[in-house]
This record gives sequence, C-alpha cells and structure tokens, in this order.
Amino acid sequence: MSCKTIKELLSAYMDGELDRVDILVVEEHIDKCENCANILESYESISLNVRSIEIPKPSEKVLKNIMRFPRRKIYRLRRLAIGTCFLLILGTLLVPLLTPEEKNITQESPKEYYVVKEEQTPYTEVHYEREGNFVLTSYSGGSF
Amino acid sequence: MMNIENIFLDYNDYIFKYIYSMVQNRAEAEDLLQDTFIKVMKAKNKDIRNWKSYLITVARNTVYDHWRKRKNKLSLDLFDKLKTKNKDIELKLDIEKGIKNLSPKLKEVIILREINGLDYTEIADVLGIEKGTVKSRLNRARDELKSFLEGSK
Repeated sequence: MSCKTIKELLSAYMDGELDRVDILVVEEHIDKCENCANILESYESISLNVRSIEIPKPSEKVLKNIMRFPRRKIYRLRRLAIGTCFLLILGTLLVPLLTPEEKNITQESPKEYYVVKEEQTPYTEVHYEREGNFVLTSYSGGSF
Repeated sequence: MMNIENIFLDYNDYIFKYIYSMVQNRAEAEDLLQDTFIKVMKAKNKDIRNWKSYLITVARNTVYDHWRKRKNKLSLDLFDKLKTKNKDIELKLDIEKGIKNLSPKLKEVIILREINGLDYTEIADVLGIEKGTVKSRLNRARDELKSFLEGSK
C-alpha cells in the first residue's frame, strides 16, 4: 500500500480507531517505511504535548456563582408565590377601606310631632341621613 | 433525571477544559462556562442519556454564539505575550499557538479528542458529522500541527 494511503490511516491507528485488517496493514507498512514511522512518532509526540497543556481551573467565585443558579431559580419561584399571597392579603384588607362606609349616617335629635286629627297622641319622628341625604324616617310612640 | 448541581460538580472541569482550549482566554472561558450551565438549566428536556456529549454540545454552541456575536474568532492570545527560554515551555507554547492557528473545524476535533478524550463516535455525535469525517479531520489537524511545529523550529 502507498505511503499516501497509510498516512491517512496513521492518526486513526494511533487513536485505536482502526479495524483489525487496517491495523495489520499499517503495522506491516511502518515496519518497512521509516518515513511513515517518523510521521507516526511525530503524531504521538504532538498528542502527548497537547494532552499535557496546562489548563487552568475556573475560579472559585465562578463556581460558586454557577452553584447558586438552581437555588436562585427556586428562590425566584418562592418570591413569586410569597408576593402573590401578600397581594391577595393586601387586597382583602384594602377592599373594605375603599368601599363607601355606612357609618356616616347621622341621627337628628328626636323631634316630637302630634297627630292633630284624632287623639292628639304624642309620637317621635326621627330622620336618618347619610352624608346630608335623607334616607329614613322612623316613627315611635303614638297610635294612628 | 440527575440533579443539575451534581452534574455541574461532575462536569464543570471537563467542560471548562473544552471551552478554555477553544477560546484560550480564562476570563472569556469562565463567562462561557456560566452561560453554558445557564442554558443547561433552562433547557426543558433534562432526560439526557449521555451528559458528557450533551454538555460539550451546549458548550460548543455557546462558544460559537459568542464568536458570532463578537464576529472575531481570534481572541487576544495570552501566550503571545509570554517569552521564555525554557525549551519545554517553548514547545508547549508552540503547540498552543499551533492549535490556535488551526481552523475552528480542525481545532475542535483536536480539542475533543486530546483534551476531552472523546472517541470518534462521540466526536461525530457532538459535531453532527460522520465518523469518517472525524477521522480525516483529525488526520489533517495533526498534519497541520506537525507542519507548524517543524516550521517554528
């Protein structure tokens, strides 16, 4: 087999990615061909050197940051739930405050009127007002 | 379904290696690591069979998105600034420069193979290409690295 064909197989041979037949073909060739054997040696040296490149580790700060991501997500959901509850409670409290109140009803001081027609029986007429508007008149005592 | 915190603890180093090797800048790599895990956390489908491949795929998309946004594939290379007389370190720096000079397609197969230790099937899966293409790209990448190192001697 030609050097060109073998050269294309050398990388995969080194990585253990060739099938049995190709392995035998390559080994047979490099036993005889010094040039291809040298290329294989160069590839092996390159591989060793690339593997020995020192790669720094990510800083502690970055690792801690990343470790906090999932918790942050949970906290966000919790905050959302707590916020919703708070708004509901606040709403429940605010609704009565915002609706018109009933307590402004004022009561006039009782006045006494008399039915003139029949028995002259005294009775009490009370006017109830809410914010200046007449709402109710009640009567007590006397007979009609 | 696995806990995302455990996944992060198990794989952060592994993913960082890939990202760092691709961008060759620590601060950038750290930002992209965070972005990768945010994406993983936000992903709806967490029923992943192969977390290693899945995470590398997300990290790869994050790196490419980053490059697209910056429209500048060449990040400031810290190694360019380093000068040393130590031959071993020089060789390592040459290799790092060599990797940096590779096209993104060739660079990532070398990183996935040598730095992340994926086999050809896994690389094909991550990149969405045929196994045969992985084989030829790796061969080309090593050949270019070899030429680069010979040229820098």
